[in-house]
Amino acid sequence: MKTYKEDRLKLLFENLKKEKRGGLGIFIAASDPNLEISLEILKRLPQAGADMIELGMPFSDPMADGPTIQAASLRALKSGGSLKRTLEMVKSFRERDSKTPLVLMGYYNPIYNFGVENFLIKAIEAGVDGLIIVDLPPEEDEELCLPAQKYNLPFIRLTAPTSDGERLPTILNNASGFIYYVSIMGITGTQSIAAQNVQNAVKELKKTYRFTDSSWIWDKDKAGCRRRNIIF
Amino acid sequence: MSTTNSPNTLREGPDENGHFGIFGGRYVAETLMPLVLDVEDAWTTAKSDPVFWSELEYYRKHYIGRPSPLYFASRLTDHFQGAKLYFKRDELNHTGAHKINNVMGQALIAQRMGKTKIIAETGAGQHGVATATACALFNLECEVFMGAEDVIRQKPNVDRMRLLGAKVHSVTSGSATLKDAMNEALRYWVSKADTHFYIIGTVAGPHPYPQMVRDFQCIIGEETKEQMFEAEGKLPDTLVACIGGGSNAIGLFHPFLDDDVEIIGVEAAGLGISTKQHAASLTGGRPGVLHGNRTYLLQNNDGQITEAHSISAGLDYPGIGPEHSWLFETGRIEYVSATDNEALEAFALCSKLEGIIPALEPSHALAYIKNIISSLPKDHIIVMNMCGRGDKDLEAVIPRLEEMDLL
Repeated sequence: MKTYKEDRLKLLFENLKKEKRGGLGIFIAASDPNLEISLEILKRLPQAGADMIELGMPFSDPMADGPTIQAASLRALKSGGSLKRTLEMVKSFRERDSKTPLVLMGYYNPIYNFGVENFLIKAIEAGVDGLIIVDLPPEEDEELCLPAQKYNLPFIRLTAPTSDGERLPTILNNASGFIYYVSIMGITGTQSIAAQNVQNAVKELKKTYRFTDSSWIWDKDKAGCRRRNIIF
Repeated sequence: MSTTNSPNTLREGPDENGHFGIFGGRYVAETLMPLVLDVEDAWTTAKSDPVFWSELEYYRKHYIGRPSPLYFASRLTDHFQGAKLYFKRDELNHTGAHKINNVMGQALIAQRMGKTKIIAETGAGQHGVATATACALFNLECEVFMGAEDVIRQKPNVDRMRLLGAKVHSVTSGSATLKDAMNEALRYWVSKADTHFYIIGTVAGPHPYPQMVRDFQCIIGEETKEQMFEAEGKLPDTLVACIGGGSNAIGLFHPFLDDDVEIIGVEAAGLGISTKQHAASLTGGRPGVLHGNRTYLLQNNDGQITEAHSISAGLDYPGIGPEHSWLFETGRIEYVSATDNEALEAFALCSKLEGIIPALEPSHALAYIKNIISSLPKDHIIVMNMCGRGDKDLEAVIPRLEEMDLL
């Protein structure tokens, strides 16, 4: 069994700490608006300043996303985007970039369809550094989180303003990679975040959980199809 | 096929995590999880509280108008010259469909939780109307999400909702039908967690909804059992109900799951299963994860959800309740389908022979019954759930019946 070894996320966080700066993560939807342009954007992200890339796996029913990412997802699907193609994009990206962490973000059904084991093998082969699967809470860890752990591939957990002291241990139990703090109660791109609130929340998280050393927050972006993330 | 140990009862599911076999579950974003867990807590408490059930019983009797009659459809029986056909008359409920059975239950739970605002999704508009009705009664604010396509197809119900004081959100994302309305309602709920309760209209969604909605709809089957003993002194031989999400069907079927009764669910075959223009998730789909649960879904090779088609807006959903998926795989229930045209013929026939204008949804059930009833013996008893009345469908149905020379 070929497990994940690269640890690009860990290396990034160590570097950021050394450099005493936050990192910039950029979200794009794979195959939006089509494969060629999307791949071109993806390849240029690191030189444009992205410390980490979140590559969205298009899904027909992105329940937790706002209109901007819904539209991006639908454009991608219309142009022939698929999970298979997203993995091919990662492979192509990795031919020239072996350093920038790239995590896949999306919904479970395409992965379930693809076959969990098959997906993990192909994702690691392609050069994926982690998974953010919106509709897999800890209650469904057996689906993908535990299999991903078997392959040593980070499974990134989301916490929200509603994740209270009672809920947090459940969330953090099988978490790896980093903690994704959803800084607004709502869908992506609908409200501006209050930086102070996020800072406080992260401080609180750090107090209790040594594990937590970053936060990724969502914000609107004028360009429309991207989401800006900041690491504290 | 895998062999499973046959349990003593088929009625004890789901397990504590909301699974019916591999189906069901809680596949929602973390932002929704605390809300879903709160609903589960409230439901668990209410379920074992006699005060809750007696309160619901009061509204069932005095507001919904239960029990609904079990009616012997003598002219259709004569017409088909075969088995005896009974209708469970849930179209006579206040608001004209079975949906109110569930809504009253959930509205009471919402109030126990101290919620003052309600959201709901709706396809045909029946669930939206039922929800708006309960909200008017209980003085709750009501917002209903409805696909833009359905807003046009079901205008009378949109007007009813508005009249009842609800705000109708026309959803234009995706295919602008029921699944998109549900996406949008879930998105909205996340942002209104503190104040809003989401009344899901069918036996789908994250746990505990499939179980909770089922338990509220089971009154249909429980009454049927009692009424059938009164009328015929025995159990029925066959139960038939239409299935979109499957709440009216599970309501009729569930109390009979452990009995020696044949059970048939009828999905919407649209233009025909082979055309891909249908809404038959079990007949033409495969397992996947959507809207909080694992169940049979219409989807392409990449796991992208495909659009359902049915002349009936209430059946036009690419999924089905997870318990139906489980009952399908265990083989306890037979799932079949009826096309748009077959349903339209049944719609016309039932109106003319029984003086009952059925909704397009139960017309699918009657359409399937047409295929089997004549070959069954005269002492064979079929019960069909007449789960809604057809007034809402006239605009869509009349031109089609004229085309088909049935009017």
